[in-house]
Amino acid sequence: MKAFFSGSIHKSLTIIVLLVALPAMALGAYTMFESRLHAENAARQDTRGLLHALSSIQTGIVSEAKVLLMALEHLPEVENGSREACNQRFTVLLGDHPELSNIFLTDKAGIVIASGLPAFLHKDLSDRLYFKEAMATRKFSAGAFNVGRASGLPILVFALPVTDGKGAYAGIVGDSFKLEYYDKFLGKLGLPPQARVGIFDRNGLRMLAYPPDAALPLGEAAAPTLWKRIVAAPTDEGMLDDRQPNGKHVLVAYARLRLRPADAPYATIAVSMDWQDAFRDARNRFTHSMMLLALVVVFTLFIARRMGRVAVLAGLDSLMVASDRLGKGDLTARATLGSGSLEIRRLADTFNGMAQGLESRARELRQRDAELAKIRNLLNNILESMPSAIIALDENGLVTLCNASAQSLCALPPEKALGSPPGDVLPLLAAHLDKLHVALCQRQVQRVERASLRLDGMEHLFDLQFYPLVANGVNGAVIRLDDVTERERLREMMIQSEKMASVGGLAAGMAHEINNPLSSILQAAQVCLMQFDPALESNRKAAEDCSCTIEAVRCYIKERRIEKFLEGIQEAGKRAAAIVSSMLEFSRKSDSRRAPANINEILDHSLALAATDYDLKKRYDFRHIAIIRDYAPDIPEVVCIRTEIEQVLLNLFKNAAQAMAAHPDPERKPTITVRTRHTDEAVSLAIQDNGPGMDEHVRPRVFEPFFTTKEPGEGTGLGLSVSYFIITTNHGGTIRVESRPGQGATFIINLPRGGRP
Amino acid sequence: MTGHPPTILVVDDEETIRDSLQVFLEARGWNVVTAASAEEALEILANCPCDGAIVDIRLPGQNGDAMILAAHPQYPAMKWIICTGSMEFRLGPEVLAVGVTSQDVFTKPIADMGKLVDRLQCLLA
Repeated sequence: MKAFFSGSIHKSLTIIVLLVALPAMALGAYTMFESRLHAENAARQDTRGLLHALSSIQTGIVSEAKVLLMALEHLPEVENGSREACNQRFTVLLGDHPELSNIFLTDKAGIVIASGLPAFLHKDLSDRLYFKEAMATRKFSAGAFNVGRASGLPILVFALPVTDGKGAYAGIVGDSFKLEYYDKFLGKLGLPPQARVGIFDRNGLRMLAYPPDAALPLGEAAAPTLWKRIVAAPTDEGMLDDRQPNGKHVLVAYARLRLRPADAPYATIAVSMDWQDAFRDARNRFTHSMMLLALVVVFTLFIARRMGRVAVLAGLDSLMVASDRLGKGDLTARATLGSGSLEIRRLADTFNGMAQGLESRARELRQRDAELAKIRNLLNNILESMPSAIIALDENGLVTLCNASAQSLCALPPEKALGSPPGDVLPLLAAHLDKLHVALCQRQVQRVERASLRLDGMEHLFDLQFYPLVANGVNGAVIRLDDVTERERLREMMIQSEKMASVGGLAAGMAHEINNPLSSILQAAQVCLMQFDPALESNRKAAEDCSCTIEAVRCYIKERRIEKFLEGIQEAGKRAAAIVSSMLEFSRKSDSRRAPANINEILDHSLALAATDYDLKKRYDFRHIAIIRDYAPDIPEVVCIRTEIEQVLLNLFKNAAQAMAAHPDPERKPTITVRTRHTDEAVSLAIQDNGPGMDEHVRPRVFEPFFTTKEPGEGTGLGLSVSYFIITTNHGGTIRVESRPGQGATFIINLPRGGRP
Repeated sequence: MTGHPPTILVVDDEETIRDSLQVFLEARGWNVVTAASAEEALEILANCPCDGAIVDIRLPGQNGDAMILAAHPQYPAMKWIICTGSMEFRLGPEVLAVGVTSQDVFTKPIADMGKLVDRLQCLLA
């Protein structure tokens, strides 16, 4: 049922109308059936009635013939055999009985002796059935189908034996009935149009076919099967259903007619009615009513369609168009109100309400989207402009987000980084996955300080923080990486400068305290040496006072090497004095000799000095070292004390040469790269060697006084300290070192262009 | 240096320094008096006028430069050599006014007392 009405409303309406029409059709069919039944009964009755009427007519004809013949039998001229009188009488009678073609009288031998028609005289009738039968039975008898020899018309002859006055049979008197006369009777009878009448003689030859039909000629045998059935029928009168050779289904009513009950039937009347014809009325009525019904249905359909359109579809169409547009995303679509039935209008109203809701919802969503986009942009901006590298991970520990800073650190391109494990994205993280795991699993913030990462050949330090994400049920973690290289460098420099400042103060204080005893030592040594100088009279006198000579004293002193030890004391004292003097350089502030100078020139001069330095030449030939000059052209001048800067540079070159010579590497040609750069405020110099480099323990201490990695006696451990104070205290600049074991060392000096601030 | 040798006052709180200077100067035939403090030096000067003095700056009581300024009005002819262990020592304007120049300032340790005495002799001449 559902499937039945799943089509369009048009279709459903059509189906409904047809369904409504169905009982009417059934009624029509029933009416037809009833009409048919009625028609059948009527046909049977008609047929039977007709049959009876025909039988009566036939019986009438026979009776009439019999009566006529019996009347004739007793006519005197017949009894006498008076031929002339008979002829006259017969002729007169013929005039009175137009239905008869002839009246005749025969003799015993069957020769016509008197006849209404003169042409019939003397004909021999002895072979005729009616003659033979009448003569044999001595009773009234009827012939068979015959064509009159005199009249030339189809006839049925009746005969009655006649006796002469003595009671002897003298012949027969007969009349021949014009079969065409039946037509007249039948025409008066008013046969139903579908009825067919046939009369057959005893031999089954057709004597009558009404209405006349060329296909059924008189004198021909009846249809054999039907004839057989009629002959075989148990009763003289009955009805048969017959199927004709042409396929027509007919009802046949028959009556076998006998002159006397015991005699054989002399004729058979058959009235047939074609069922088709019988039912034609019923069928016509049915067709008629069906046509009417169809008309009604069509009209109803039309009305249903029209009314459906007005009542349902008008509103629905607009609703459908609107919902189509809505479905395609046009949220401004609305159904037209006010058309269609109540439900449709309510539906349209509800639909419009819904569309309104959707539209305002969409507008709200758009607004919220815009707000979200704004917030997202803001957050994105914040994220992207953050100096910290941010890497977000999902709960499986896979990367879901990298900000710009993070991308610049990543080993993978951004599109590959997403969805990858963090260790692949940033190899630095691979060593700290345990911390990440703790952050993810135990929801605790984890930190790693100063993780080292090499970027573009430079050592960078990162502080790592692993934050678990716990808010709003979003599981995962955020890794924050902060490049603390510069901060660490500053921190280191600050520690350094604090340390060095205290060293400077300490050195100044110490110097005074040391200088006094040193002075005592040196002065005492000088006096001691002076006290055995033979040139001095006082010495000579003192020796004599001691009962010896100054020569003897000198000899003794020489012998005991006292003079040499005293000189040793003097040497050591002077060296200590030099060290103290160097230490005092830390805090010495001198504004003398400060002048603008070109750093590139100073570098060149220092390199030339290094090449000719005796000390250097002796141990590490500077000419074996490749020098790469990477100078910034048009470098601005710097206010500085040229000699001090040269001292610093020379010291650095010496250190580099010594370090490279102490750790020769056949793979690598000793190289010193000198580089200058400048900004608006400052000039920077970098002195880079490719020597053995320094480890983490050495590097922070290189500027400390007395810290040295050289063999004892090779250096005082003050060179870099002095350099440090020259650059920082005297010039207001900075000096720092970058180095890793095996990677060489780079000293980087920054000098403010205006000199010491 | 006319007739009699000059008398030199050595002021230093360090005995060895005092004594070594005394011996060194006496070897040249000069007279030497020593004092371990500024106060002592001023007392000595009151009894025994001197031609010149070698003065340490940092002394237990009064500083050397203050002593020079205190003594100068009474002994304006005296020549002064400053001998200090401090490298930061700078001549004050008053001391400069007294006639002490930077050439008269020696920084300890004195490796060769000869230079100091040469300067003193030069001043006394």
